[in-house]
Amino acid sequence: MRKLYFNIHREILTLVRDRAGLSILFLMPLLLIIVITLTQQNAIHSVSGSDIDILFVNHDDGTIGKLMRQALSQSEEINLVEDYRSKPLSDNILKILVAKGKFRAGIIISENTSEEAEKEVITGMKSLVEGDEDTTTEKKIHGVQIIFDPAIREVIKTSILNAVKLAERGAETRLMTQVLFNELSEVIETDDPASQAVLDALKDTRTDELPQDIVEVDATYGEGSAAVIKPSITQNNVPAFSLFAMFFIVIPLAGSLIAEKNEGTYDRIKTLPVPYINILLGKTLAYLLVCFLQFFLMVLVGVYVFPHWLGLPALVTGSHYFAIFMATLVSALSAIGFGLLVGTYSSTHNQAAMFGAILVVIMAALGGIFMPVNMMPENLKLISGLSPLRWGIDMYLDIFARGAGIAEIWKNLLLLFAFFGISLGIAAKRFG
Amino acid sequence: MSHNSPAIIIKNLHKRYNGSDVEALKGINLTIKAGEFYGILGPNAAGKTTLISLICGLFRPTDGTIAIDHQVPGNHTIEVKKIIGLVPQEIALFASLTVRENISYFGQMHGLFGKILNDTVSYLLERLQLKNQAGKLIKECSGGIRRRVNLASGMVHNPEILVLDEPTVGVDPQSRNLIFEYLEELNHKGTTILYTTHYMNEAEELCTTISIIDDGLVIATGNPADLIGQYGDCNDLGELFLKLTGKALRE
Repeated sequence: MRKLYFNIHREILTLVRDRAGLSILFLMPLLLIIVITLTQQNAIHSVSGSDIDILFVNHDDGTIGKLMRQALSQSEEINLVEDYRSKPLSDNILKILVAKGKFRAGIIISENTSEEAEKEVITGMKSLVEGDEDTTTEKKIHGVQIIFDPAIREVIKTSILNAVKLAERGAETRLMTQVLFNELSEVIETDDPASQAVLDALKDTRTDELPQDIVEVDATYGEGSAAVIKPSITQNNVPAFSLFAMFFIVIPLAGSLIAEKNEGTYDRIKTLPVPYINILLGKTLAYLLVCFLQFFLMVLVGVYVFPHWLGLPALVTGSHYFAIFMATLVSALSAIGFGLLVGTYSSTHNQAAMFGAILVVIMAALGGIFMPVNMMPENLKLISGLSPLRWGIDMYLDIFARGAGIAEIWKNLLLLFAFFGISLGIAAKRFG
Repeated sequence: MSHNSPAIIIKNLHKRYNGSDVEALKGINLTIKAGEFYGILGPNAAGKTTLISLICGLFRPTDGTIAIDHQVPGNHTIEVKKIIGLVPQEIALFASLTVRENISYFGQMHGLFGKILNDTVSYLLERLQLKNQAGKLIKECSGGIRRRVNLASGMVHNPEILVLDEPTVGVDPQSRNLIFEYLEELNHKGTTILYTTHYMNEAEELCTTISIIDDGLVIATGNPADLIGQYGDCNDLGELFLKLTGKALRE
């Protein structure tokens, strides 16, 4: 036991005196989490927020042009721009500005769009009344044109397209209602003054004054979520990137094993009256301390720095502290196991640093750190199930986003612990 | 271990490394008595380091046995490891630890701690003139200092058998002299010393018995003066060595 303590002490001394290694272990992950969270938050804001400027030229005097302009002006996704440098926009200027990337998209509503649409609606209605089997109109009116910046991101394009389609559907529905009211008042003949008054009122009704959005869509989260945890980018990023950072101990850990192999201390240690597993456990416990410190620092940043200095949502830790402790313990152990494996099978420090770092990034990508696993192709989803980072991330998301406790994460705890046990066994067998 | 009793008995020792067609050792037989200052000489690639590594239990022989202090041959138990101290050819120290921390660590791994450890480390620092460098990191030390710390780290537990693999390579004359003095002092106190070197004058000056090995075999064993006497045309160990191992360049 005393020898184990001396081995831990030696490892910690070595770590503390390696400033470059310390910066990799502590400063780099902090910078990474801050930069990535700020970038992602901004990306989300630019997709779902109101700061996508869209050029808008309306040549239509009728209902469609008017109502689409109204709907798009009220949209949360986009911000309509109808002038450029204090001059009204023309079709040509709109197309040039979008093509040059000054704006991400432009909308042009053609002249007489409402009038042509109205004719089509009347034709369709007459066919319906006359009992035609097929009442769908063959003629499509190309009245609304969206021009996109060729470099636009697909997610923003989809967001704009959805907003414009929604506005157009709404305008079209109201146009149809208006036509229906007009036609009813024309077609129906009555001697009853009260009925005639209703028909006249219908004819004069402005459909844009009718109530809208009567049925509200309420968005909530699944029942598993703890009441105190509000999903946010912070709830995902802090645990995910803490895990990512933990796995970067592969570089100093594998490096220390390789240095011992190449510089002769490993051979010397083998002549000492101490089992090699004792040396490996010394490394394990020293790096375990490092991983807990990393996690603690990341959590502090999430809880205090994000909301107070960076304007990001604060990390909510919930109340499952034992689950967080256990998840961090086994995640750290699996990261250490990975470092031992890389150190065991690499022959130079450069090899371990390159191989280890690239492998961590690949495992992180497969694990869903950079993109959710459910967005991956089926084959990749299967492969991602083999990544210890996936087991760790799933476990952390269960705790931090779904409010899970030990009862919900025990399978992943076991998987990660088994990974560590096997890695330690391989390293001990190879070195011992 | 009583004086003159066999400390190390090596019988028919063979070693072939994995993936190699050639045997590094081809049947070595040696008996090293307790209290001897035993030199192992040989040209490059003769098998000296392999022999020492096998004696220290770094790897297993392909065939043959090594019995240390009457223990079961081939079994490098914790007890065997406690009585051996290795000073390897390369500087096998932790670069980020200080001189004192390195020597202390190897002492701790041998079960020393507290006052005994502190006193022993302080004595070694004093004896090997390292006291002023005690707080210096190894990576900041000169080659000579590192050699002395390498030596101190191998003997901090006061081993009965001290194995030194070319401990004076790249060392200045002052450091070399200091190391010799200390090794002789240890030997006079009863420590069995097994010593490999390229320097014939070192072996002639220090060793009570030498073995010359070449190509994995022992080609001569005995007291240096007796061996030189056996070959009348040789004036010193250097000439004897060249006569026995030839003048062709090695690896």
